[in-house]
Amino acid sequence: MSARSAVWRALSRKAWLETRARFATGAVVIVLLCAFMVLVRPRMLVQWPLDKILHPEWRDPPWWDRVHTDYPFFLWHYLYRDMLQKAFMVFAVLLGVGGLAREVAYGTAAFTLSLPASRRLLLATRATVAAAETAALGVLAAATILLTSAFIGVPYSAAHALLHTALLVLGACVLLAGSLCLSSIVEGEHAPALVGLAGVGMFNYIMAPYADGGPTSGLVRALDFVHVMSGSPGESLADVPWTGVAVSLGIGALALLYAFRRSETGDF
Amino acid sequence: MMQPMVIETKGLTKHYGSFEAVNDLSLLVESGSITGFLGQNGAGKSSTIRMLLGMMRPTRGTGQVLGFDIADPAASVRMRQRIAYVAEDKRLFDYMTVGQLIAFTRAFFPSWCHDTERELIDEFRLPLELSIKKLSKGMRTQTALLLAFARGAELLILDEPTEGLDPVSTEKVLGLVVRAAANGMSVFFSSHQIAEVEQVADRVLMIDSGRLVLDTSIDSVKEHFRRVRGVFAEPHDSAIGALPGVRRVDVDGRIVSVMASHNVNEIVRYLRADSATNVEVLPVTLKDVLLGSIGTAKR
Repeated sequence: MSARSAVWRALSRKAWLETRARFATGAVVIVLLCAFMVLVRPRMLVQWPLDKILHPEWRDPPWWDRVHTDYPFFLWHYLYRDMLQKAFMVFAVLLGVGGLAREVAYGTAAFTLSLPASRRLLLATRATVAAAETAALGVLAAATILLTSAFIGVPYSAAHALLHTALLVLGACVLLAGSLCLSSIVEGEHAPALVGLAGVGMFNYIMAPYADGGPTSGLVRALDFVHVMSGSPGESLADVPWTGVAVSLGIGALALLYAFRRSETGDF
Repeated sequence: MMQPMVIETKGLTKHYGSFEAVNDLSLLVESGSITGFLGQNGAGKSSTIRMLLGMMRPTRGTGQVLGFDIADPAASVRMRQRIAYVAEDKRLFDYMTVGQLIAFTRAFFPSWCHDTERELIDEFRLPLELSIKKLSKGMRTQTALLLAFARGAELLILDEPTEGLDPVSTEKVLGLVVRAAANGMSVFFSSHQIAEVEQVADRVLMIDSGRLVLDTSIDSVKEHFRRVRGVFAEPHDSAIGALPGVRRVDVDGRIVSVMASHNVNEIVRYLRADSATNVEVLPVTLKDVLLGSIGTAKR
C-alpha cells in the first residue's frame, strides 16, 4: 500500500469513527420509518373507512383516493415526499457537520493540523465519507421498503424505489455540502448542527404550501428543494425535476467550494 | 562551528485585529539543540509555534522550518512529515481508542519508530483498548507525547509538554526530551516552568508581548549573567542603563540593582565611581534572568 493511500485510508477511517454514531442513528431511524410505514399500511387501509364514519365532517384531500389504491403513490406521499425526506434532511445536516473549524471548538485542530496532510485532503476525505454514508442510508431505505413490501405481499417496483432514494441521496448530498460550509463559518462544537437543522426546518416550513400544490413560479420550482428530493410520484426519468436538480447541484457545489476555500485559507 | 538552523524567522508578526500577538520576531534555533521557548501566558509562544507549523499565516515576516517556507502550504505538508508536535491543548479524538489513535497517526509517518511506540506504551502503561475520552488528563498528555516521540521526526516541537503531569511523569518526559536530543533530534519546547527549561535546555529564548527579549545559552546564564547591587548614601538615580551588558536596572531608594549579561567589571567600576558605598556581585538563576527580562520589550 502506498503512503498516499495509507493516509487516505487513515483519514477516511477517522471520518468514519467520528460520524459512525450519527450514521448508526440515521440507519436505525430510516429503517424503522420505512418498515413501519409499509407494515402499517394494511392497518391504515382498514382504519381509514372507520375514521370516515366517526368523522363525517372530514374533507378528503385531493390525494386521498389515490393513496388507497396506488401503492407506489402511498410510499411516495408518506415516505419519499414526507417522513423519509425529512429524515434524510436531518441526517445529511448531522453527517456533514465537521471539519477544521469544528475541531478548533473541540480542541483537536492542533493535533490534526500537525499531521502531514493538506487541508484540502482533510476536508475531501471528510466529505467523501459523509457522502458514502448518505448513499448507504439510501440503499438501506430502498432495501427496507422492497423487503418489507415483499414481506406483506404487495408488489413494488425496484425502479421506483431506486429512483426516489437516488433523489433523496442527491438532495442529501447538497445539504451535506451546505452543512460542511456552515461548519466552516459558524464557530462552536454544536452550533453548526443547530443552525443547519433550524435552517432546514425553516426552509420546509416556507416551502410547505408549494409542496402541497400551492401556486408556484418557475423560480420557486427551481429552488424548491423539497420537490427536488421527492420528484413526482412516478418512476420515469421524465418525473425528475431536472431544472431543480441542476440548480441544487450548483448551489451544493458552490457551498462545497466555499468550505474548501475557508478551510485552506483560515487560521486555526 | 555553527550548526545549521532548524527554525529561522525574520520579522515574524501576527496581528489579531489591533492586538499584536507576535511582533517582529526574529529567531534562530540550531540543529541538535534543546531550546526552551519561554514567556508568560499570552506572550505569543503558541501563536509563534502555530505560525511555524502552518496553522496560521503570518501578518508579516518570513520563516523557515527545516528549510521549508512556513507560508507555503505544500512545503508545510512536507515539513510536517519531518517534525513532531505536541500542542498546548492536548485533546485528542474522543471517538477513538488509544490503539486506534496510534494506528491512525502511524499511517502518516513512514519512519514511525515501532520500538519507541512499544517502549512508551509500557512506560506510560497506556491501555490500548480504552477510549480516549475515558483517559485522565495526564494519560492524554502521555498519549500525545507517545504520538510525537514515535514519529521518527527530526524536530520535536512541544507546547507546554508537561502540563497536567505528576512529578514522576514530568521527570520521565524530560528524560525523553534529553534522550531524543542525544539521538540527534532537535527539540524546541515552550514552557513557563523555568526549572524544567533549566534542567534540560541548552539554549533559551524568551518572548514578552510578542517580542524576543532574551536569546542566550543556559551556560552563558550560569557563567556570565550576574546581579550587581550598589548601595548609595542617598536615594540615587543612576544612568548606568546605557552601559554595555546592562539588561535591566531596578532602583529602590538607595539601592541600585543591575542585571548584567556581561561587562560586569565595568559595571562595578561605574557604580564605585558613581560613589556607591557598597557594591556586590551576586550569582543569578535562570529565573532571575527571565523575570528581569519581562517588561524590557521595546514597543
